[in-house]
Amino acid sequence: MLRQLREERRYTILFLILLFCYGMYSLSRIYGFSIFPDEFGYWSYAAKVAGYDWSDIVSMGSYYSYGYSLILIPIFMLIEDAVTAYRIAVMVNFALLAFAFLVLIKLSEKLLGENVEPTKLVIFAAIAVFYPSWLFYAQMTLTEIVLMAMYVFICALLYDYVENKRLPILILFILALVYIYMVHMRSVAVVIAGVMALGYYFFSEKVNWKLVLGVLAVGAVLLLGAVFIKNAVSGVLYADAQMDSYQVNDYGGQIGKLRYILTLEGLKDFCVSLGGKLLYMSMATYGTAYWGIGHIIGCLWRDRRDKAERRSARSVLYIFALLATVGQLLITTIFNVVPGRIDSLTYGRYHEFTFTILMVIGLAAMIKAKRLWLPTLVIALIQLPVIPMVMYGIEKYQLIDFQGYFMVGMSYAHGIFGYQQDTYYWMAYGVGVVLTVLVAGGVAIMRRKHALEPVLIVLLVVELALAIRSCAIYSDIYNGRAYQDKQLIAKLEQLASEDRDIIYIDDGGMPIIGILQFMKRDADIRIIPQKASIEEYSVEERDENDLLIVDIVSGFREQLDESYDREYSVGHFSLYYND
Amino acid sequence: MKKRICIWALLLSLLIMPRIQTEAAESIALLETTESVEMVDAAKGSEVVAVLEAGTPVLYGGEERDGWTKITYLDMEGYVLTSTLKSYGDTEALDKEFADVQGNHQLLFEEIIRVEKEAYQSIIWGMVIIGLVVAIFAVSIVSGVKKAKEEQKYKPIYKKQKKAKLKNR
Repeated sequence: MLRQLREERRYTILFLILLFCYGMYSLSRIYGFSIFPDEFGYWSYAAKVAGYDWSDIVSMGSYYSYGYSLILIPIFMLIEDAVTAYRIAVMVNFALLAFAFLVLIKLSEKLLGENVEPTKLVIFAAIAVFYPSWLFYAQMTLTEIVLMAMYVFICALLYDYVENKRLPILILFILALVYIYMVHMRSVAVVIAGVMALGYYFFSEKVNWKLVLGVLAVGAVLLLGAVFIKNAVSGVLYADAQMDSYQVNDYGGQIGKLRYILTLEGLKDFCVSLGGKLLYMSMATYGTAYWGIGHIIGCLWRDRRDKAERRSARSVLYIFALLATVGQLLITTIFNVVPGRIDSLTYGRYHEFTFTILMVIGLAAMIKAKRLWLPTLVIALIQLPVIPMVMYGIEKYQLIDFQGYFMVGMSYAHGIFGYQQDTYYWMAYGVGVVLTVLVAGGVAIMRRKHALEPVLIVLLVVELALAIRSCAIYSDIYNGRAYQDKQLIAKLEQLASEDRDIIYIDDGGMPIIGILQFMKRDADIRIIPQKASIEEYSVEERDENDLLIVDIVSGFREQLDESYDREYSVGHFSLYYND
Repeated sequence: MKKRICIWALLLSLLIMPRIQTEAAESIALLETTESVEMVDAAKGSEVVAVLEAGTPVLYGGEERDGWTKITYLDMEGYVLTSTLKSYGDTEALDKEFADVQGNHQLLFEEIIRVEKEAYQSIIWGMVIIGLVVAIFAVSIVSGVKKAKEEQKYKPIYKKQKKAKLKNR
């Protein structure tokens, strides 16, 4: 027993060091935003608290929740330099990954420790946390890592509360549910699942109803408070926002989609969207998420007649995980029911954080399953009909734009073969099947020769390689440009004077001016809409003495080249000014 | 002994180099003629070596004497009247353009340094990661071998226990 404990601790420490080293490996290449305007949206709350008014630029994008900003606020206030602040936020992400890893190990030992050796559980947890999407998203200030860490923490809290019935744990569980909702409103399914799982537990167990209702009432008040705060901050930061763009991420923007789903055409699109998300769940997790769901349903079905088992911590957690997974799947499906881009059909980002627990449970289920290869084959083949559905969706909406970083788990083919519209999804499916077979093969070897743990560590190495490749395609180029944007800031500081305003011409595209605002937090950047001709601007809008910034790919540059003495193009922007 | 000589030579060269560069920097100044003027060679008894049209760019030769300035035109050296020379073009605009070009070169230089630094750090951390992965494999292989040996050791005992259980039933 002692020897085993030492062994699993050895693995835990080595994996934590590996995570740290990967974080350091990535850090030197990070200079700023890769995904915009999302990242700017999260930092804008921190800027507001610090006393900077970025509402002009914030209003150009859609609504972003403020929960993650609670982590960014102290970083923003303590660190002046933008790149240093950004890198510290990235290291916080890696710290959250480490936290999720440790919580996952503890939880899986309690949940699965009877049937699976602790050493194997540590390796399974490492595979779930070294999931390439997490290693990719950890390198940017998006909410994904916080959501995943909070979800794992919530699962652990629920299990602990049902097992030990301690009130502080219940309070912490409720607070965690409220916080995850504040981080991103799309996690509302987790909140509903949490409440339903608790409700199921309370009705099947003798509890102190007064106390429980009191805690739940406090939770409801906190949740309403979160909604109230959201409306308040939206009123301040998004006062000038266009309703269309503001509502993209808000509930208001989803009502029309719900109505559309009730039509025949909407139902067809709903099925296509759902199929794509299920395909993503299978391919990205190498089939293990399906094993996890199968194991959960099997356990709940088996225990349905056993009262004690029905009320056990394991059953309550399984109910919660199932409801949260289904709920998040539906949210992602509805959000992308009318796809605007190709990746919307197999969008992974919105329900990916539910995969972590499922992967660990799935791998444990694979180790103990009576049959391994038949279910693996079924999981792989059942996804095959979805590919033509996805191709149908692309054809129907004439989709061209492909942003693979929102479906990292199925974008490995992009890194290997590049993107070809007709064949991409077939190749992505092929890569997914290869990975599924690799994992099943590793588990098969571990089942026969249980001492052969290195076999699944090969998968860990593959995950690292896939994460590095994903970063090379999707974020390294933006980090290179972010570095150059820093140089533009240096130029602006050189040219700035009291009678020279900094003006940005908004061509209606992505509001990337946020990058410069983040780099130079106290810069007063005035936004003016793009007009047909430069002569149409009044003196109040644009003075010849002002420093004019446009996107480096802006079509307006031809006119500006003729009207200005000097041009300085670097990174994402072109700066025009007169002597 | 040889080492000492080399060190002194290096120190001397470091002292001299900046001065040479400074002197070189001082003599490089671009001028132009304001009118048609004769360039004379003082060494050849003020023989006219060239006639320069107005607006001809010349290089300042680093010497001014009695109202004459030494210049270099093409590959010839000579003297012209100081009053017939002025700074070439709009020096302010030229200075700015030069500063821009210098700035762009500086950007390129910084970019190269950054890419090199990143590549270096990536290599270092990449090697650490590979080392760690190898360590994890080594730990798992060692523990696997130990487990296999233990299994072999206790296999006869487990078999006996199993037989005993079956007998009791």
